Amino acid sequence: MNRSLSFKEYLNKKLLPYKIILPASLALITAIITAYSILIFYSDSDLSFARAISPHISTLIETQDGPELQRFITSVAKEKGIRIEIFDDKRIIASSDSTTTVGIPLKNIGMGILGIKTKISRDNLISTVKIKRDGGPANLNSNIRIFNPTFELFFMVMIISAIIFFLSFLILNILATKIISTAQKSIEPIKELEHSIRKLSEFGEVSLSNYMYIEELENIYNTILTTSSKLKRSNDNLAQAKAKELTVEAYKRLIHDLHTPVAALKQMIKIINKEGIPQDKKDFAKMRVAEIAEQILFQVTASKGNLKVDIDRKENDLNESVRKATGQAQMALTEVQNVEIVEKYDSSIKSFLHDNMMLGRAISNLVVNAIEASKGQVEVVVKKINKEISIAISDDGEGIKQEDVSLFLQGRGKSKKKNGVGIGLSSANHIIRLHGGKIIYRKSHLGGACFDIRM
Amino acid sequence: MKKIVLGTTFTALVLIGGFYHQQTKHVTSYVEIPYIKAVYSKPVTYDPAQMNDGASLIFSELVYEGLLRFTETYGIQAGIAKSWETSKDGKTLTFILKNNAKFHNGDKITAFDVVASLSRMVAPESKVFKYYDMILGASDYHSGISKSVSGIKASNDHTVTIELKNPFPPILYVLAGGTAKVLPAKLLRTKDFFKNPIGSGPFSVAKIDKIDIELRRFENYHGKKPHIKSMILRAVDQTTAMQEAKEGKMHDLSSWPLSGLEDVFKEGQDFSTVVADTWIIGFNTRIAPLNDIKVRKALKQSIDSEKFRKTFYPSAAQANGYVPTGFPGYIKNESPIQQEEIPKHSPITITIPEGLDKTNEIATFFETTLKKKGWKIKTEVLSWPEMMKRYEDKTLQTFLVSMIVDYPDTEFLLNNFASSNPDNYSGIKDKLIDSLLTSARGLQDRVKRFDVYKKLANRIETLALSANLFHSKPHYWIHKCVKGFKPNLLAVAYIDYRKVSFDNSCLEEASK
Repeated sequence: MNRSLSFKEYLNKKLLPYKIILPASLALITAIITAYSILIFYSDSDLSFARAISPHISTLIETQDGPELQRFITSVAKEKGIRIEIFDDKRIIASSDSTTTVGIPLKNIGMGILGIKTKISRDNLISTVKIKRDGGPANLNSNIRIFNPTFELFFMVMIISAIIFFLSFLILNILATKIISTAQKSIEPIKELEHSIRKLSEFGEVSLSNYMYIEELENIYNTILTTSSKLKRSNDNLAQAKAKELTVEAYKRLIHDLHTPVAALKQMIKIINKEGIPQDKKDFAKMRVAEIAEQILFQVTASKGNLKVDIDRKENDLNESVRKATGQAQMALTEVQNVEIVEKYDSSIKSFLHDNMMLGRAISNLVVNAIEASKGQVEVVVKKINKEISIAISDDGEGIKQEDVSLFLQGRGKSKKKNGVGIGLSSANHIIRLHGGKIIYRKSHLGGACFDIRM
Repeated sequence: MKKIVLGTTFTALVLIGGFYHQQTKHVTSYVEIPYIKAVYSKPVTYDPAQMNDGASLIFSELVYEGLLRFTETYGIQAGIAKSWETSKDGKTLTFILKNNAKFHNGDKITAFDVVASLSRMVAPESKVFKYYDMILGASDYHSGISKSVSGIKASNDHTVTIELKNPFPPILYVLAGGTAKVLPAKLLRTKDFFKNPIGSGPFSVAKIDKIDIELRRFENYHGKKPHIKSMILRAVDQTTAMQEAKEGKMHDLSSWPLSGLEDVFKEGQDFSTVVADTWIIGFNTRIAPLNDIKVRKALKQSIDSEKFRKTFYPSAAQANGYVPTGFPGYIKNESPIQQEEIPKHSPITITIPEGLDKTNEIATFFETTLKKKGWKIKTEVLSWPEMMKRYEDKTLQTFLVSMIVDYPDTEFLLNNFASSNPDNYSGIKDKLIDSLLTSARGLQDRVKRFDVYKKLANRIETLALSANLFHSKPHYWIHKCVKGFKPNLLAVAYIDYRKVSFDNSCLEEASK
């Protein structure tokens, strides 16, 4: 993945093609224009030179003075750095630089260029002029051909183009650097703004500073301020709504949580009143009735006093709390007969800072849910994992879809059951969170759900 | 004007082969191998004042040096002279000599050497007097009236002045030419000087034997020294030369104007160029029946030049007149043929030089074609030195030669027909020609002078003094490993061998 670029790097990257393409285009255009201008200049100069020497050459041809013609063109060609050929309608009569071309048949060479009378070959500009002079023979049928080396010309064009490229590249670079530094300066307030926004998120407020001279940034800042104050208001509203919701939740939870002890109470009373039950069991039931009644009273009192449900953590035996809560759940669901509950405790865990009542309530809820969901087996395991305490309640039921778990934990899931697994789970979640722990859901080794309380 | 090229030699092939073998055996470095140039004949003479043939001029340009030299394109450049100027009236030329110019024996060249050497050109025994006759006092000296040439003087050690009878700018060409060479004055009179000649040119003579002239680079040469260390001028006939070139034993065949179609061109460099020459069958009016203008005219017309050219020298240019292409007096268009009746005539002999690639075929060509037309014709083939001797004796009746322009001015070409010129091969004495020549010399106006030359050229054609065969457009064959060779538009003799060098990597490659 590409690293994100700084503003300067971004600008540099975006401007780079222009830094090359523009000077190159400028150089190319200049080269073409220069080359063409030089061609025109050379062409005119060569043609006019050829016309200038034409009368004298005409005399030399007329008087058939080959040697003088040869000497003349050799010396002027040498001086001008060109090659001169004199030819008639068939062959070369004289040549300034080669003693081997004289007398050979004429070849048509070079190609034309638009707007220029001179032809161009690979190495030369070739200007041809008909030889004549005032008062001379009407038709000498001879021509002067001047070969001007193009190397010099193209060298000149190359030099000029290179200079233009270099200069424009330099200017553009300076310009781009200037633009980038100005742009970078102009986004300094953005950094400040970023800083302000950070402060806003940290402290909820920010003081206006001196960057407010850029309209767009001012707008952003104002938008953030407005949004921030709106968010605050929404937050307050949300808190109020949440408070209400929690109150309702607490009632629901209380009602729900009362269901199990009351059911247990009912069961105990049944035992007391039922004939044929051994006396010791009846005595235990009586004792439990008193305990359950006390628990109910406590819960009601607690709910009365603080609907938000607080916990009161004390050093209590965790194993005992779990055992009690499991037993309570079991008793609450005596109609479910064929479920075996396996309990495993870790004897190394002695006392643990927790609210035994509230934690018991959370565990009861989870165990009840497990028994209801199970096909025949529920497992409650307490153990120490590293520094954490784990209380895992597993069943062999059908389990819950992973994506539904978080909904149930938040109390927003919809249960198929009458009393609703939703409230039980969310209540347990609430209690565990108050203990600073969390509930992890996973597939149980028994095949159903496993809710693992970690504290 | 000189007769040239068609020389052949006293060649003994076995000797050449043997010699070559001996030479190459000791070659250790390619840089040091001799540059071998084939020539159609050994120089007829080593004395510039006697030079009248191409082979001698080739030697002269390599070994001797004059005040001036020719460039490849008819121009003039410095030789021994550092600078020169012409007086306002055009009659006096002053030359300042280079300080570092030395002879091959190490002696410094002085103005007195120049005076002595140039005076020899107009001495009674000189064969080149005709080029120098406009120098003041030249005629008196030539005819023995005076003991020195009043027009040639040394003002001091390094300044020479030459005075002319009349302004005559082409004198500079003469001074740049193959005969105006400066030789050491004090040695000139020694008996055997020309057996082992000493000059101040880029090469000195190392050895002269029957076939080869071995030259060595002159290390104290006043100008830019040649690249090649040694050079051999080897006298062979054309067929042998081409064979040896094919075998890589020869580097330069520029003595022969080849057509470019020869086998030898399959490998090596081909320099096509023009030279100012006309190949002719010269008619000697001294010998009957050519003293009869009717015979000359009829013979001229009977010789089918175009057929000859197309058969033997197809790449050459058609010759319609005596003056070569590009010179005033050149006749551009063919004159209409009015077939004259062949008059009664005594037998005529055409002399053909030995050593041409197709000497015998050429002889047969003339004999058959002319006999067919009713001529009593006979041909003879002579060796080059023998032919040259008879040419000078004016005993050749009709003969095949190439007339080269010695200097880039028609004056020197046409004054060959002056009745006073001892070198006049035709022996014609025509008042009109003489008067036109005189009037041309006196004319400064280029156009007017040209008109005179035109008249002269036409007059020469009218008098039927030659059958003009063709103008050479030679192809020079040069070994593929030779660099810097540049043809000279004026003549083969003026090719600048100071610039020629070997491509060593090419030589190494070739030896593999």
